[in-house]
Amino acid sequence: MGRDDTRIRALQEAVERSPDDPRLRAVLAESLLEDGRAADAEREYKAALKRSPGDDDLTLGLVRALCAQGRQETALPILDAHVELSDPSGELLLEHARLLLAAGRAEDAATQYRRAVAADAGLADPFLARRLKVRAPGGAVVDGKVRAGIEGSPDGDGEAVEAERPKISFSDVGGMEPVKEQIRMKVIHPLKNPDLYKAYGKRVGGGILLYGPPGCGKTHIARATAGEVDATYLAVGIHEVLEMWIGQSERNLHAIFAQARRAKPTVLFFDEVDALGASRADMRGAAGRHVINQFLAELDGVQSSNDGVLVLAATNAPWHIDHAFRRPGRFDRVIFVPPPDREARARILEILCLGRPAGEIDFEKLARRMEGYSGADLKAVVDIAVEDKLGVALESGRTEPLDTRVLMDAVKRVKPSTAEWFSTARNYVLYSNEGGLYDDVRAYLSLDT
Amino acid sequence: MSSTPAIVRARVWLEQGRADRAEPELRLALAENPDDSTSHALLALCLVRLDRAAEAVEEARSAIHGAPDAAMGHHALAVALEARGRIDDARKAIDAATAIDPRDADTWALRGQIELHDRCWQDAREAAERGLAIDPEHVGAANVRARALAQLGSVAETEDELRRTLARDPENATTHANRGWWLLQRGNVAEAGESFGEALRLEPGNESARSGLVESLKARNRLYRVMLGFFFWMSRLPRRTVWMVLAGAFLLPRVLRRIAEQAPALEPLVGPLTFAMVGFLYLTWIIDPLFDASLFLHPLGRHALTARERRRAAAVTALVAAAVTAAVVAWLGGRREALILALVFLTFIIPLSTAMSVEGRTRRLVSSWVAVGLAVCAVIAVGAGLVARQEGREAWMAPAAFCGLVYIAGVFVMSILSNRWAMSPRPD
Repeated sequence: MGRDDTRIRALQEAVERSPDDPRLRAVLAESLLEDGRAADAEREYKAALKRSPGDDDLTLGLVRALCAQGRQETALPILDAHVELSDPSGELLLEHARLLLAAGRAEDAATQYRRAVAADAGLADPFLARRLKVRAPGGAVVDGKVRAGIEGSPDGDGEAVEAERPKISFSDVGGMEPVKEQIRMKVIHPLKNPDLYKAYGKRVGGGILLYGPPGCGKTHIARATAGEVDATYLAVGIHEVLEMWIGQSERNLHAIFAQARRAKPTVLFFDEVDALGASRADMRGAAGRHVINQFLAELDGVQSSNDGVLVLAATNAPWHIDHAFRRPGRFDRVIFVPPPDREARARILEILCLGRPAGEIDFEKLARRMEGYSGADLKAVVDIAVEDKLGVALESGRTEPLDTRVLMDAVKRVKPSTAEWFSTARNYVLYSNEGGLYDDVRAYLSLDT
Repeated sequence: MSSTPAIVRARVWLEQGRADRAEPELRLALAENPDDSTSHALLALCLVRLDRAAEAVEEARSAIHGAPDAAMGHHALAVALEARGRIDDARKAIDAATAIDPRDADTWALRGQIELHDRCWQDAREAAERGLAIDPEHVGAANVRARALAQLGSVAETEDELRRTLARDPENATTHANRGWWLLQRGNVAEAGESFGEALRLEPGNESARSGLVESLKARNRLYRVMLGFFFWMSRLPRRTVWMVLAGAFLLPRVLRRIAEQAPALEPLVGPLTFAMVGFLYLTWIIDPLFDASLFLHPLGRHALTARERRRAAAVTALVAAAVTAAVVAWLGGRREALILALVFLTFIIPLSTAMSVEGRTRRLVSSWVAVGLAVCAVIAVGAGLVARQEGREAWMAPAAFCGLVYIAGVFVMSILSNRWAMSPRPD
């Protein structure tokens, strides 16, 4: 008897004991599929989907099981319906693109491909992209990411970046109340009460720069801001802008702002803005300075008004950003996004454990032990705990619920990732805190000089 | 020179000094084109900045393998080897780079840097001047020249070079830090502190400026200023001369005794002179951590110290306090063993301080284990010595003496090793 057979037998026994656990069935189905038993896998996936309808991973598994049996014509309608009803994962969209292409629906396939790669750049498939004629600059695959079509370019018929309408709002963001309040004052209230702001002579506009250690929810809160005001969300990274050809990076930036103005109300979010707006004093080459000048001109709305365009930016390195970006009308509000506090940590852990088999968990106790942990660190802790429990479940053949002890064990294996950021930030607080720019970090670190 | 979007992005990050961000872009570029020598060379430079010099050497060698006639790979190799402390190899690599492209000021500046590392001040000056002949505004070469001139004792020329370099680029943190060190060397403590402060304002992560700031705060004390002057003087000497000075210090008491034998009138001076010299030598070991501890109460100083400096300062201060307590007990209670304990505490500062301050993982590991071993020897020596004083237990004296000898020899070896490591601060 092979190792796989033993594993499958053990999993089958486990499923018999816990027939209502969709995750266990998913593991069994995956093993069956790997073992070439696609029909059996299909049966398990279907049974799991009955207990957990609409699950992305289970749907993807079912589709793969069907395709393995050469039944693409059955798989495609399942995916068509699924992507209509839910907010599908990148992997599912990619699978959908492949099936659509096989069915001769190339245009739909290209759309789904772009969505898939926008959701997860790592899914880029150059071969599929070529077959779909998703090419530069109308959605070219560059460095594993769809670089979108550029307005005004000879063959660019698409948009500069993939747009989305986030379904999340501030209620989906654990903690961070001071940050939310500042964004409300700066972004949401002005947009919802323009007349009131006008009456007080308060200028509406300007951007917000979010800074803080990595993994603490800057990107998440930017998306939630767009969801909160029901605006189009355009997320822009260094890959969407920087090009090797002279002048192209500036054109890309212009195209992105033009797209944002067309789609207003828009939340235009620049991730890792320090890459695009680095201090000109640090730069030797003229090309980088041109990009910055273009960025400043777009923020000022020199050629076109930025009414209805809310510009948010995030950075882990605010000290690298050119001072010109902090002038009024540009990123005139700089907000420190600290690691989640104790309450927020408890809430985030609670959210992360939702939908998993869980027993008695003392989230408060865990949160107390996790001072300085970022949101990403908390997720790592829960992932490790789940893996531990899954291992036990596979051996015992029954569902093992998460508990405080296993999570506490996982905490010991994950070190807070924010320490390095704070050791750098500390130097800026001590020696380069001009105008009290980093006073929030100083307060957080309780530095008294 | 190849250029892909990933390399363009990597260069943007590197221009900003963000090696951590440049590395993944270069890995991406290499995934697309594994033989691209530009990517290998840039990655080598990145890795040096990330304190991964061993990997950097490999990447630089790959760059040279791909394009042996391009200077960039040899330059990157020289940077990586210098970071590993392999000065002779670094010199060979930079020679290869200058042979291929003798018109690159960056390469000459690096050559000067390597010579500075090797305490070859005149060679450093000449290399920097060749770089400046190619690009008179090259800030890196100008800084190397200023440092070389300072070590050669050319006061007017050093001041002139620093003034011109700052006029060209007033926002260069390295130049401000270099000026700070120069002023400190000249005894202008207040202005030196201002220069270090300015360097840190411009570049808060600048280690030279941070350590300079710490020194300038400690140098407000007259005693520390005197000792700092001695350290500066030693730092200017060639390596061989430093060893001769140290050997001279060890031999001086014997020489004094010989002289006293020839001229008995000088006999009363031998004891005090020997004591003063031993005290001075001992002070060179403890003054730095002791004054670091004095910064614990300074509003900026306590933050300017690194965690390792704080730990060392606390440990050394604790040992000194223990030694003083033991000495007081010995004096008041007439207990000779307490005096031995005080001596153990005082001498143990040497291995402990070395273990807590030495650079490099291997050196730290070795010195830490040696310190632990010596601590064990000291405990056995003192314990067995105490037991041996009891009647009928004289046999314990042999292990006590043996461990005591091992302890003394260990401390002596550690003091030599520590000096040796201090003169080549970047470990292999």
